[in-house]
Amino acid sequence: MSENVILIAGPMGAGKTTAIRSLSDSEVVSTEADNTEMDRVNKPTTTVALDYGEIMLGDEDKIKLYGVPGQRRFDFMWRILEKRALGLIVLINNDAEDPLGEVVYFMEQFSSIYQRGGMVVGVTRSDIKPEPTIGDYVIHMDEHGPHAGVPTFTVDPRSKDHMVMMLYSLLMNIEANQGVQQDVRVSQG
Amino acid sequence: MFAYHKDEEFCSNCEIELNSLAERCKGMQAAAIVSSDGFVVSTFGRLKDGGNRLGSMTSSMQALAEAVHEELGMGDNEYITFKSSDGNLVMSRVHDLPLVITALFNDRETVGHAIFSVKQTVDQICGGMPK
Repeated sequence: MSENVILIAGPMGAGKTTAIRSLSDSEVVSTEADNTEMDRVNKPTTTVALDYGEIMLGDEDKIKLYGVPGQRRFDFMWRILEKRALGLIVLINNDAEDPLGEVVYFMEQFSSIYQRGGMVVGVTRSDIKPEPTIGDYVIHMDEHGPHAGVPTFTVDPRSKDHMVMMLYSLLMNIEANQGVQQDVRVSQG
Repeated sequence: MFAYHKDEEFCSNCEIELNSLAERCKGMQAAAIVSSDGFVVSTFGRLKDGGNRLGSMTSSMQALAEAVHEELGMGDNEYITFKSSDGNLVMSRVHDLPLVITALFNDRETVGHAIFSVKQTVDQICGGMPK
């Protein structure tokens, strides 16, 4: 059986904990604390270390899902967890103050995963604020990073179907990128 | 949720309690009281970045310890200790308040005395809360 680690990152309030609860086959381990920044993000609790869940894909492949805290003061957890990660789902709430800036920020923070083609983006809360559009995100990421074509979706983190679709897309993208890299090595060899 | 780190009087009282802890424990090198979501309420001693990073790490460690306790059905977490060649770090939740205290002791301080003293400070912080 193979086991791989996928991270879920993004700003506070984007729906990371909800997404892991939607995806996980097992009871989710959460590390929630009372949120004292209610003036910034209106939710009672916030993740301060990680969320952890697991999902089986078929009989053989187990995905370990780690949600990381959204606040930048917890970025030491990002550095610890990214070392083990095969891929990254970035969730961005479209009603954030600067959603396009946020997506580039997380692209840069997890640049090692992004550069090997292991990142997908899920835009949440676009029912509340429809803009920027998916096209805006794609153009913005292409302008700020060397690797075009980060798969980008509108998702509802409460929907298991949406999140599974994103997870499969991420895994297939990683597999395709690994294949391309192997082809390049063979042609160079 | 009340933001203790924004209450100047409470922060000042916590600073007094940390100084008192340092008086009782001559081997205490540094300490911080932080909100459970990682904001610094008060510090003692020299800490990098004003203790902000330690504050976030304390919050994460306390939450992880509580998650392990819950997973194993061990009841409530009382305190966490880290032992190194140079001394001990003690972390404890401040009873039912959304606060965590962390204190670093050198090897002149026994771990038993360090834990006992941190618990005293926790009681004193809670004893001084407005009724």
